[in-house]
Amino acid sequence: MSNHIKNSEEFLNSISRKKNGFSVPKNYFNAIEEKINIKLAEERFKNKSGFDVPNTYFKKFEEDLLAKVLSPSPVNETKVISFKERISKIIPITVAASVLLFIGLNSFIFDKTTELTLDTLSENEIEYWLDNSDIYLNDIAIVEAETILEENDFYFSSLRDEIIEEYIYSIENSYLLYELN
Amino acid sequence: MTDEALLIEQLKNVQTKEKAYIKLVSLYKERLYWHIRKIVISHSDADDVLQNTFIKVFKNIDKFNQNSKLFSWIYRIATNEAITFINKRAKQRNLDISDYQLELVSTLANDDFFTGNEIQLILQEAIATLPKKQRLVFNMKYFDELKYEEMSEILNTSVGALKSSYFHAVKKIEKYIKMKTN
Repeated sequence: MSNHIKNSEEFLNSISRKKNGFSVPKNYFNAIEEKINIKLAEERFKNKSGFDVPNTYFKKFEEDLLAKVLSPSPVNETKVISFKERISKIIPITVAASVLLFIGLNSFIFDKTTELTLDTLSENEIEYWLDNSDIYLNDIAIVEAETILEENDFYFSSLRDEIIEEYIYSIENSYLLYELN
Repeated sequence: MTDEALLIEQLKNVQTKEKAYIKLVSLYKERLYWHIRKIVISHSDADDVLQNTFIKVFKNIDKFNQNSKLFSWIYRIATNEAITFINKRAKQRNLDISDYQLELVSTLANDDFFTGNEIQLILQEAIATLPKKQRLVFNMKYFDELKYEEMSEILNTSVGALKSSYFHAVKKIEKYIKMKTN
């Protein structure tokens, strides 16, 4: 067996001269200590980010997640805000008199027999007044701003995540960035 | 006290550990690199495995029980790291380890860090066709010129079994090269 190996080894030596053909980048072996030291330092700080989780967090994660998925999602009812309610907020007292006067003068249309107050007006009547009066949309926006803000708080608190996600996908990104800024 | 025993003592002492570690790296880096490189083939993979090997040595030096030589122990860690590395890569690519090894060698012709000639390329192809154990034994005996006793300590295999593996490996390689060159 040893003679066989000797012959075969001699054959291999004659053609390859015991060279495997592999090479390394220039100065590779001079820099390896430094690389290893850096890696060692990294290893020392591995998993030491300082962040922590409650003791049972990962043990209970699946259970909590499943409970969340299986629990019935609350039915979101859309809050209907009366047009009349809203408009009564934005009409200053001085304007209210003009509304009543306007409705009074047009009583042939509204067929009013009872005493005219803001409370007795129907939504149709107020709508008619808006269409035919000189009130500007900007005036409504200024008075409404605060009301809308309060209502937004309510809307966001009751919206489901998927509805918010749908909204985000539907708007332009630049708009979202502007919002975030 | 021998040099190796002194180095081990320094490595296990907190105060001298870092200095001794630098000495250890500089002593063995090249030999280990070439051993690893022949298993994983590419330079960047060999670089990764070499670093991991030294990190493992540093972390586990207290567990070294001196039943074998320090170099044999480190060589064994390097061998395990390199084999684990290619096994993982083969798994990621959904390939059998032998197919993965052949695929690695097929990239050598375009590798910037393979400067061998045509015969040396054929030799690497021939080595890649060998079973894992024969491949290891051939590289360690033929290129690294380790003694069978040293290999026995590293690979935890009897000298007789190693001789037999080497014999079969050399024969297969000779046959492969002759077939390719004729």
